[in-house]
Amino acid sequence: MKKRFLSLALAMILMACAFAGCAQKGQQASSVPTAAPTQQAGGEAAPEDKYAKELTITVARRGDSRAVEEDLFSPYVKEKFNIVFEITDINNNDFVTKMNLLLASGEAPDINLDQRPEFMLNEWIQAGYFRGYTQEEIKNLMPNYYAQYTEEEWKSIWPAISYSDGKSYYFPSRRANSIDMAWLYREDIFNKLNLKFPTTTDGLLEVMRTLKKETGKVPYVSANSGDVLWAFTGFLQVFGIPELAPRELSYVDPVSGEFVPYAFTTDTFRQHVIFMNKLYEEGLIWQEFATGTTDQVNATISQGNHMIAWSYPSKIESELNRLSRNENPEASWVWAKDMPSSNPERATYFKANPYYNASGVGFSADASDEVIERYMAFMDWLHTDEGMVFRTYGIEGVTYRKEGNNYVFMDHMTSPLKSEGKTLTNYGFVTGGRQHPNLNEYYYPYLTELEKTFFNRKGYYHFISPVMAYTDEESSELADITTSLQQTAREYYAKFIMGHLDAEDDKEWENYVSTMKKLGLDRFCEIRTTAYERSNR
Amino acid sequence: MVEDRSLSSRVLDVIVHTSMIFMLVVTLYPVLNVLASSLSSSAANDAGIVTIYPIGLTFDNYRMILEAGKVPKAFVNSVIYTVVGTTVNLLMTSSFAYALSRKHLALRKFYMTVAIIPMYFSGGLIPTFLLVKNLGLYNSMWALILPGAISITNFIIMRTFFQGLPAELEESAALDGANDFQILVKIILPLSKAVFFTIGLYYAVGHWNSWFSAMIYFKDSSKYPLQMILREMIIAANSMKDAASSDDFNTAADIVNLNVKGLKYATLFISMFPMLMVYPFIQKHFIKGVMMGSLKG
Amino acid sequence: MHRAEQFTVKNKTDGSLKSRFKNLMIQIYKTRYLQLLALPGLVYFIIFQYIPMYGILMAFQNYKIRNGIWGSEWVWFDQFIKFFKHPYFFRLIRNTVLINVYQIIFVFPIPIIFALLLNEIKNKFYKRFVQTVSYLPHFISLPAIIGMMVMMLSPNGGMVNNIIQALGGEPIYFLTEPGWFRPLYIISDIWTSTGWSAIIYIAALSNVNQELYESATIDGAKRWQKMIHISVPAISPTIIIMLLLNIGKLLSLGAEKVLLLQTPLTYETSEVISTFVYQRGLVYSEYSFSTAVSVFNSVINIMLLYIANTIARKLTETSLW
Repeated sequence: MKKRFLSLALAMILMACAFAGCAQKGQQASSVPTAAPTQQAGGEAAPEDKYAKELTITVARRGDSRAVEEDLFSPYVKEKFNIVFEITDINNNDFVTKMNLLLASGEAPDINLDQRPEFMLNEWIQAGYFRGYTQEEIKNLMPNYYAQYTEEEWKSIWPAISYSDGKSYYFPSRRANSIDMAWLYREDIFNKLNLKFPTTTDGLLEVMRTLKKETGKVPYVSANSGDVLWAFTGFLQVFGIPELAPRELSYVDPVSGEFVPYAFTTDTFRQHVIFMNKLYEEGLIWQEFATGTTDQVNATISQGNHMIAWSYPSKIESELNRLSRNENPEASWVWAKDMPSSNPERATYFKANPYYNASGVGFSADASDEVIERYMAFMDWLHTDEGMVFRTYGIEGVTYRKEGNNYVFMDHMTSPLKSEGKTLTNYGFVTGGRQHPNLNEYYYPYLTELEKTFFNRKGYYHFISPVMAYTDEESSELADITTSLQQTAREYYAKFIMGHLDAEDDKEWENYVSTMKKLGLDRFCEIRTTAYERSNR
Repeated sequence: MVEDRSLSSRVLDVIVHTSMIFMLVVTLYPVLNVLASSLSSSAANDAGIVTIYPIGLTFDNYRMILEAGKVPKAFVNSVIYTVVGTTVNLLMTSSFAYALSRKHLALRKFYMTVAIIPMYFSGGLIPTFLLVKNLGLYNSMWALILPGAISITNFIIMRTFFQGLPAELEESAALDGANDFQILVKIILPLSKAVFFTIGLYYAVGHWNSWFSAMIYFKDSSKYPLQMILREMIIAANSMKDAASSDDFNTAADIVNLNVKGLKYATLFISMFPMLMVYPFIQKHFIKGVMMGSLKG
Repeated sequence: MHRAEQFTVKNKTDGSLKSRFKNLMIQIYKTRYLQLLALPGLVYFIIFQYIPMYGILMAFQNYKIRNGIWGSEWVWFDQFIKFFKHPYFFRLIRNTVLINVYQIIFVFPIPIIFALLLNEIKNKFYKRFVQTVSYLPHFISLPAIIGMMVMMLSPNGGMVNNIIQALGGEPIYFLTEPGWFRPLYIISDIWTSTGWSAIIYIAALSNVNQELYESATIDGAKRWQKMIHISVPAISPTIIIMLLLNIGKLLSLGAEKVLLLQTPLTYETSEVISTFVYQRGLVYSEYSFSTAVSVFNSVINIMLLYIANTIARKLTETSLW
């Protein structure tokens, strides 16, 4: 009895010590954003003098670990800029976790190559972890980087990437592809059955029915067991809901300009769901869309299913043809020059990317001025022609050769036409920056065709992601509500499509909407609308 | 020895053999499937037709792995972390467990309380990370080994074993004048082979399978253990949306390269293989027939 | 004279703090080798388990990384209330507890039975072979093995449904039936963990005194009688400890396997506490909330463990403390 008292007392004293003792350890000084580095001298000093001091720059890169066989990147960069890079590879899934830990513990890398708003950027900015710059400052500090967009383009880019203080905390490079997704179909089968790619939902239904009847296989195979809302994004678009809605949740209708705060309870969405259910009941879409794994999808396609797809033309060779040819060596996928729509009189929608990449470069506030300055010199160079060639193709004679005006990957390298071989990562390349335009011109000539086919076409519209800025409390509240809403949306989406519930039945649809309301749908819409109006006054 | 030839014995035999065969079939299937997939052509893998024997036999996957350089290094890393880690684990756990198994230990209840509470209350990721960093262990192997040096479950199991050793042995040695330490070395340890090997195996497997600590504590991916590499491959295969949405040909290329089922399964098999080899060696140390047992009378 | 008695201090003290303290010091000295042995463990616990424990305070705060523990705002029980008030709170608790209870009822005994049956095999090679193979699924990374399972359960050409159809039945789309989620989870548990969990029981059985079996044979005991009356009691301390440890985890259930087996149509039975926290964490890193949930789990678990341990101590000689 006495012993127990003693042992408890000792235990508590111990814990109190632990608490007190770590009072110091628990402190985490947050750095105050330092001022932007001083402007670079106007090029009077010779390059050798400018880079006289060797600098080690730590970089965080989002991607898998690299198997570097022969490092051609480091010697080149060292020679040209006298930089030694220390690169930390962080896995896709673990990126936020690890970055948070690094930032919280003061181990933040100087440069973050995958800075993007989806990754807690607001939190990080408010904590003062990163440096921000105004548009003017960037124009002066990295003129080549700045020049990749026209002034007109900057007008729409800057509001999208900047923070509420007018500065931007990440700097994306120009996207290579403005349109990279389209409807694809099996040309060989369509030709054999004399089918034309449809432009209306009735047409889609007809074509798919014919395909099923004549081949006995499932015309459309897709699945997403992680988030079933992504399973049929092409069809979302057919009805006027953006392809990226499962991520963005809100959108602006390009025709009416109306802001829709939540896509998955609208009448438009209901029409989409009814249509998908019809397809499901007739066996025109793959039964296992809500549970299938990638392996299963591949296996199903390899058995001859899947004749229409909403996907990337760039995957035709590497994936679609490869899989379909397991069943029919004559299989040949092409992209359709039209998009189907539920109401072509009103609008047909296609997907266009913003000018800029999803992720950009972030500069740590803790990094020294000279490190930032040096990196900016490197980054700016990456946006010159020479730099773009370097980061896209590598080293001449080793990884690429020049053929006239084109750059071609050497035979042992992987390329857009060949998925086997070495990649630049195997040679140690880690850069960021912008892809050289010649890659698309030479290897993906259809990309320009895609642009010509859909941009500026009468009746064709694309979505522009709405800009929304939240306060801290709003973010927190949104986080609470969003998860519940999305989980429920997924549940009902699967159930409606599979026929467990009837979307055409008013009562059952109302039941769905009211369940969502109980989980906070109205508040969600309220916050989103306020945020949108705040950013788009 | 009199053999039991009764009906009940034969029924028991039937039960035993049926269950064993069932167990074999059910557990061999996934293993054979993994091995077969790793040796099958990519067309066969895509089509999903591989069951327990290779179709389109090819050693390409293994060749690519051994050439590519990430896997061999990671394998060696894993071996080092496992061996060193398990040694540390056993030393720390057994000493603590033995001490606490002795009923006459002063402050015994205190020690037990200290040991049990963290099983339920833990500060979590961030404080632990900060501690490890402040101790200077970031990016070092010790960050993987020290924070988990004693697993409380394993400690309890070991303590139970030590407690179960018959008191008579100890007492007679004590009467002969041996102190606690001599008793430990001369009497207890020789009789504890089974528990050391069992708990050692548990710890070893824990190290071998772990990836999370490596992910958060390592800066250089060259230090990654095998499970991290494996995880990258398996996740890459599942995050197709991410791969394709990468505008950048170079990034996409890396991911497509990994997304080969055969390669994935070959790496998986390589990660399983050591464990296949290890147990048969350990099993012979689970010796029967020494004066043991926790039965009274 | 029993050893422990040797070290019990006769109560010749006057009960005062000073003499009690003195007694303690004497006892510590008498067990000094043991104290030395216990020292590294103690140091380990203090450094790596107790020092970071301040993180629990996050549960009572609105923790922000930038402010650290001491700078974050205190909200006391708000995070807990947020959790309790959530419309799915009961569903989450019910699902988590049910799966764990099913695990104790259906998964827990299997390795024990397997170990007992394995013990009956005389041929050493056969025995070693079965045992080695049996634990291999434990080493196949979870996404791979669940992927295999999903494929086998496919309503179109999956092995299980092929068998069902061959027997004249209709294919069942297992993964979309909420009622099937728990059984599938349990089955996958049995599949992957039986061989592995059996190791500890096999090791315990290997330590049983052979003479006990021999004398029982001479007394005319049949094999199954020997199993029940000798083997089982011999490993019962191990069984009880493992059972207690499992009860102490009743509210904890890892998210990984659930996420792999879960589909939107089974949320009713498959949403558990850990997946709920995980989903929220994807949108917004809520350290405070997840810590609060953790603390809640731990408190309930400890209470359950305490009750179970007391029962075990009263009914048997084995307990955790």
